[in-house]
Amino acid sequence: MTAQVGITGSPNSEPGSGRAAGAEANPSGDAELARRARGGDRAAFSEVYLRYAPVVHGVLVAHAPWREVPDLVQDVFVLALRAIGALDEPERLGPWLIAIARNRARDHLKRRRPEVQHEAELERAPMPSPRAPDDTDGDDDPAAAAILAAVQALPESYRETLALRLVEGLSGPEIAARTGLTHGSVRVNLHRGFRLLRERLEQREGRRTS
Amino acid sequence: MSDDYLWDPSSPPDPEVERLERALARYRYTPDAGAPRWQRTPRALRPWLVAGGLAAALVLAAVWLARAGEPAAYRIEGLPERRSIAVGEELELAPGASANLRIGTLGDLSVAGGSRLRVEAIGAEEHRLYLERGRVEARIAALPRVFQIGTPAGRAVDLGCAYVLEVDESGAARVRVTEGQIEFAFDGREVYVPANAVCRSDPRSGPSWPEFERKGGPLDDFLAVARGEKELTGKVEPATMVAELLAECSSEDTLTLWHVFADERVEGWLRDLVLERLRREFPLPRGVDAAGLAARDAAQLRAWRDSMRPAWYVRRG
Repeated sequence: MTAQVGITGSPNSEPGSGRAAGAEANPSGDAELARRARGGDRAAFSEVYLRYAPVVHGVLVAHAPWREVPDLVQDVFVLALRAIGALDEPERLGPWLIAIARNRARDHLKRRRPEVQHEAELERAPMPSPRAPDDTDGDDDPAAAAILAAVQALPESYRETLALRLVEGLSGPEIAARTGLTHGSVRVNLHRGFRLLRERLEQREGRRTS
Repeated sequence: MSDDYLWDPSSPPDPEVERLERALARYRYTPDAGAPRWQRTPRALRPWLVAGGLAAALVLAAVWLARAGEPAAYRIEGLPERRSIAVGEELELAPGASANLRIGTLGDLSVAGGSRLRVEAIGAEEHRLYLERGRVEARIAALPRVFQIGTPAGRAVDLGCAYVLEVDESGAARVRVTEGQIEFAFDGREVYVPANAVCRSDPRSGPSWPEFERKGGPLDDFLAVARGEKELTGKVEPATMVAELLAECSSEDTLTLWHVFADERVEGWLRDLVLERLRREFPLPRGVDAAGLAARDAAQLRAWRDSMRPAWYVRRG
């Protein structure tokens, strides 16, 4: 395991990535749970896993090849367990885990794309889509694979929010609570992201029929 | 498009959003990480698939022919008389000698004196070795299951880790994981061994229940009962005595207790008591229920075990 883990949640730099303050980023009991886990209470960490595995999964689905996501979810929680002693803001447990998931996905994609040479450049660049829109990545449902590829090709904050809503089935308020984004940002990400997704799918459909 | 439904799935559905939701639901998180529900189902061969397969086979054959003169091999460091080991070759070290194998870009393997090791496969998706006897220390950073070391008593499957594997003259193996986690597989049985845990395996009966190293305690007493090495006698009912022992077991002990629960060779009443003990510490995840566990539903067993795994990443030192 060689991925580097960011200790503090890193906010998105794209439009619609506003962070929530205080309670919105701290769904019921998260901060207390994080404090207990930080103090070495492994039952508390187990509860963190149960609570956040779908969220981490959704973020990874937005960025990484779907076949590799279950293993990456495990990686993220191994990294989180190692680093939780240094978690500065227990009330921002969700954003912290999401930052680890993003870093892990980025690290994974970097290894898959050795031709991308400049590390600093890669860190600054938006997360690349793991595959071309028409690549089904071995999925036996090409229509679903095409929709997922279109989600993965959206700007980073749109793709994560949409993956949490359309793949994981979370509601807007749940996404806000778990990610630390404001309700307004989640609404914007969902609205603009879905509109962009629909346009791209229509364009793709148009290309196929013309 | 209705923003209401996008924001709140309990609102009246928007057909467009609902259609995409339905299509993407197959990628949704499931606690059963071992058997994702997007797993492919068998289907009839299609002509384009056959044609594609043939083309791929031709490409593979060409690559194989091109590489036929250059067999894949690991570089050996520390042995003046030998620089590499290829698929099908053996390495036998004299007592007191030592060597280091470079496992491509994945990591390395320290081989101790007196070891006898064979390379079975080297490839992008599979690196397989076989340790007949001796001691190796692996430090591997690879995708899970890519790197494996077989022994007469089972196979250590790397899940991203560092570990020490020893095989004695009788073929019995002992693995101690120092970082990450491995799976030890033998005759259809699989044992999960996280960092700081140890597992022993016998060439006839397979792996023991893994355990964290410790000095005595209630778990040892319980294991003696579970193995049939100790009989419970006294005025108190055996079930009550066992329940008391289990109640005194620590969180770390749940690694071993889980494997006792999953082992069908253990008597049912003991497994029922272990189930009660584990449930007190680990709530059943979504999709797992008592009936499924009692019916030995493999997916539910795995899902519950996976929910416990973070608790088994024990820090030492």
